[in-house]
Amino acid sequence: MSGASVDRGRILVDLDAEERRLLGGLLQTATDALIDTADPARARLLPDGYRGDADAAAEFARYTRDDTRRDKLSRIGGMRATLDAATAARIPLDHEDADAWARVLTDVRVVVAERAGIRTDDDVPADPVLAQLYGWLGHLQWSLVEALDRVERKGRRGRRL
Amino acid sequence: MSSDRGTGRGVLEEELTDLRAAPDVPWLTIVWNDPVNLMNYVARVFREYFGYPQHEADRLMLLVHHEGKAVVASGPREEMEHHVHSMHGYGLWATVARFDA
Repeated sequence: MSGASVDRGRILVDLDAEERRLLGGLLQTATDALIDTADPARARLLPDGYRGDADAAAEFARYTRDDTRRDKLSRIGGMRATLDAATAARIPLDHEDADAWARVLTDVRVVVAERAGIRTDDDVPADPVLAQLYGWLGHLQWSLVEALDRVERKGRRGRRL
Repeated sequence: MSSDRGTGRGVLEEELTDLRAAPDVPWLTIVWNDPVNLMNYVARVFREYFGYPQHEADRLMLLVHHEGKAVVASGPREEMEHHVHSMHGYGLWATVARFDA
């Protein structure tokens, strides 16, 4: 199964050409959701910073939302470039890229979850294609976070020696 | 949060009143549960961003998961807004709140 692994301290992500193409399409969907003010996933990608205080929430959004969106788009662009440049199924990621990918995968999964009608912890996508896609993205992100944790634990041990 | 591959550890009993917040720092950063974020990712964000040791990051992550929310920081309002801004960058649902709210 595709996913991330660690080999001699390096993080590797295995994605065949079909999976890279699929992921590229999802990055475009997430980009659209960040830009389109009418997209229902946008409120989840750029949430309110206050609950129960509309004025404070509006002011917080005024000062932070453009910046949050710009950072998310920038990370998506970086992941897109790495995917586009990949010529083999095994993609090595440096630590910074792996960290950015983990963050982008949250945003992508947020958009897929919104499309699939997932609102609570117990919801699963009714559509079998979306269910498979959502499960695959979850596995990819989980394995990537595990890989990052493993590399960092090793790094901390190394520094103590 | 999504517990598809959760650690399966038991429910922690901490109450929201059991906070590190001191009464003289009335602003809080609250992280809310959401159905998307993975447990290992949320714990990682708490370690990476706030610098919590692993056991504390895991404790807060499980509090979010089981109780629906957790206070992850307290202090001046501007600082809490900065934290919430950062949490949104990580894709976590976070809000600023007054301690007595």
